[in-house]
Amino acid sequence: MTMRADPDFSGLVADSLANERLGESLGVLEVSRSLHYKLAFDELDDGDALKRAATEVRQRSLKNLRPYLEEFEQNVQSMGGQVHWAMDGDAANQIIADICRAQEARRVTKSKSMVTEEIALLPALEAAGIEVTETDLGEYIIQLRDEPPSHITAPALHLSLEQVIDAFNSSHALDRSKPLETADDLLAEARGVLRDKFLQSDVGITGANFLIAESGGAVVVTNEGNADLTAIIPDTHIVVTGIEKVVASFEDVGTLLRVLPRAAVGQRLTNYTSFFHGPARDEDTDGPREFHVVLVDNGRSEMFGTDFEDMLRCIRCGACINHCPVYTTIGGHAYGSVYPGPMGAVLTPQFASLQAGRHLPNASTFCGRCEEVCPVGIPLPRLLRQWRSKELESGYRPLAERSGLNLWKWLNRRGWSYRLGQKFAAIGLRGLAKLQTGGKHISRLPFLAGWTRSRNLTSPAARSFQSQWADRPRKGAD
Amino acid sequence: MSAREQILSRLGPSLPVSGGVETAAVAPPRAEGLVELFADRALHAKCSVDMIGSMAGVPGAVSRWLSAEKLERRLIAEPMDELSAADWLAEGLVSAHKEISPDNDIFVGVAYAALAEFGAIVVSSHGNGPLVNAFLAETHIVILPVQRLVADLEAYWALLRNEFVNNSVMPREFCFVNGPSRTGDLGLPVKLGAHGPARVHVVVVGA
Repeated sequence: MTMRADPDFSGLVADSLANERLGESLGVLEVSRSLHYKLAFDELDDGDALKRAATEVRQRSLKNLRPYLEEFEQNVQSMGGQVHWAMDGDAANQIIADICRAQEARRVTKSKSMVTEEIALLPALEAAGIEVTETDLGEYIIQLRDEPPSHITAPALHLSLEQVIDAFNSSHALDRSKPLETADDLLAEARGVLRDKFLQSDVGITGANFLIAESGGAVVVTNEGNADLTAIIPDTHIVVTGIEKVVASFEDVGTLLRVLPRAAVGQRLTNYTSFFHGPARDEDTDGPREFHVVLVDNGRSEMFGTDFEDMLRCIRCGACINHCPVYTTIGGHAYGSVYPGPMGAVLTPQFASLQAGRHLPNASTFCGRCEEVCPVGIPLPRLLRQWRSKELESGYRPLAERSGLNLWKWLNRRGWSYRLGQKFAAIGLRGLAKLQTGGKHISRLPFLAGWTRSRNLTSPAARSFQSQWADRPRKGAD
Repeated sequence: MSAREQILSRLGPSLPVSGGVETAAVAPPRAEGLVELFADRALHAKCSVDMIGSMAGVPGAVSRWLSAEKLERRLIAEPMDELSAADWLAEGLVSAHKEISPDNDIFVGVAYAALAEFGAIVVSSHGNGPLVNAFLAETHIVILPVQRLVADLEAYWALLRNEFVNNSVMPREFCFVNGPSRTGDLGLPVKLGAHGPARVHVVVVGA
């Protein structure tokens, strides 16, 4: 099974644009996160040098992916932990369900993991009769509403406080004489309910932001502390993550820990940075008796050695998403994938299918902000362009579009037809502008009314640049 | 072919690991003024910080802080070599050593180390009690012996390797704690006390 993705991009975008509440949240995200990112890197003596170091760490990890993974596995095993390898999502879900069954687990707590969203772990476990509770507050809220995340680090971004209160009111057995009204009320309620879930859990499942080859360690960053409560209390801890997450050493992890919180949320460090090394030792007074790491491939090894290998450097900070003018207009759900924004536009055709994800690489202005802010220097616009080429070759585009593009290509490759076409287009557009707004701009284009529904097109100048340039007085040699 | 073999075979041959220990990506803080740097950054991360001369002063410092914050005077205290239940009682504090329960929400523990670079303290399963107390408590009071304060991550890795990798197996868990637990999922302003402690108070000893 490949990752699910909804190909109805235009439908989803229309819904998003109609949602004013979403527009407000995205406006706040756009301003606050880009500001915090800037402040966090400006504070350093040389933020660019740090990002170059992080890029080098990730490049070296990919060059040595096999030996690092083998070393990691050996170290986990020497501490009494177990490592499992899953070719795809179905295999991973099977492995995890089997571990839970072997423990006769009925109740599972879970901290945030994008890989588990990617492989749709929750429905698989629920089908096996296991109750799973998301403990990251944002993930918990969308679990109550049974909807997907809209951002990889702020999954409930698209919701208002009222909507969250409604979700709690419908799902929790509440004391009706004390209704939930404020964020503080919600926090107290969530803390209480989830505290019980933590304490009664049979198995804890976390993701891992990084894996450390030299020690067999799994590193998880949170602001809430829910990963620790998930990992420590139950008898079994399962770490689920992608094969590309491994780095060589503590030093490598340190470099990445200096960029990830800054790029993601503008913090020097997240509130909790946890390093998990195997199951409980004899002298430990708490901690899991069993420690499992499930390494998920699901299309990653296929990217190795191809044009898309650079994308494997991604550390899931979400900076590209926060700075993307398209994402901050349409929001995460419009992408129809658990991975939205620029990184989602590259990963979705890979992990789901080109057919399902083909609109996403096209939903880009190639402004390049994503590449500028990426702390590990992934050339996202180049990768999006590569997907566009593949999409064109694949024949998924409707005949009308392909024919139109081929005509455009024919006309614009020949100097004479290009200039002639420009001349007539300019005359036509100027005439249209005169008709619609007395010459100021064009408010509605024929055949392309959808494009002008939310934008105006400038009226062309009286003379083209080429003809003005041809008339410039020649200068003598200096 | 197993999934493991299938996956690994796509990642190239099994070459020896190349690339050694990376050097620091940022300049290390100066050695002098580490305590001040730590305190400044811990405050920025919404901890409160106190500084006292010796372990004998810990119960008094904790007592004063609890009074100032108008918090109750019952706590779960990690056993500390230099302190006993009697020392806490002398300051009117009832102490016990066990796992946090709902009616005993203040935990006093000893930091394994601290990082001046971030103003973060390090808790470890290698300590004297259940690690989970540091995450279950609503108020976490951290005793930090100043000799356990290091400048930055590089210094911390050196400490860790010196104390564990050469001699025995790594602690099951260690965690950098950078202020109270928080969430932005309920909108702005950010809320403290999401699942972990809503208050973190650091008592630096021997400063």
